[in-house]
Amino acid sequence: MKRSYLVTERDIRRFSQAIGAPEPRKAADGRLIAEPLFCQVFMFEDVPVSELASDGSPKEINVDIPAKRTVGGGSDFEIFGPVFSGDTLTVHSKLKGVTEKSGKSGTLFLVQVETEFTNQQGQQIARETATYVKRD
Amino acid sequence: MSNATSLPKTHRLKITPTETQVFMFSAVTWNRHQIHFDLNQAKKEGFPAVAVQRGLLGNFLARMVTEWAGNQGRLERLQWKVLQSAFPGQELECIGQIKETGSSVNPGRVILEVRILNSEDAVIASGEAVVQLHER
Repeated sequence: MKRSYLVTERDIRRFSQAIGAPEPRKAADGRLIAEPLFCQVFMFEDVPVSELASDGSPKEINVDIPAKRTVGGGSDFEIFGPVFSGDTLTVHSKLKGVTEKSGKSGTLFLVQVETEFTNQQGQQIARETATYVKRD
Repeated sequence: MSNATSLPKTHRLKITPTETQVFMFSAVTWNRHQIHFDLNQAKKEGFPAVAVQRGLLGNFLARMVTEWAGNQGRLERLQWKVLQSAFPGQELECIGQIKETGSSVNPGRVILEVRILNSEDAVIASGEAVVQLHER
């Protein structure tokens, strides 16, 4: 799934406030510089609630497996360049794989989603491989 | 050439997430997963309170690393795995320790081992950060 978004000063400021970071820094030309993991703002597709699972978990991990609850997980977040206000980011996310594992508390499913972010100049800005743990 | 020896070997940052912060992070990332804002749903899934997002924990680590590097370097990669849930009101300590510094090919590359502990010293998340120090 591919989608594009304009990065506003408001987006950058609200993200910094949400993570408890200081006021965003400004580049020499006055544009705001986003925090390193800012691309998380555009990670989840903005679909209507009716398209989400009943627990509201992100659509990206709504795969057909016998597990309802999403717990823990991890992330590998690569940052190739900065994001500035005024940029347009294109987001491309895909399901990378589902692995079944047997843990102490029963069967677990590791759902991996890879998301790539590119700016208006076609430069790759970030890539995240997120792992969600699903269990019954 | 900048090198890691001028930076402390260990850096710590204490953060106590609040319910407001968890709410703001869900809002700013358009994450509608109920365990992050609906106490009843969180309890149904076995949590004592709404859970701090995996992504927000990553930002706590990123803040610790960028505070450590100051204006001397840039976070290039952050990997973290959530081992235990964290909840608003818990004091979390983010710790970064230099694991590897530079190589002949890239003397400015520093790898930090990163983790988040709660006040009982239980590991909430652990992983690795790659920081590229600026050339001088």
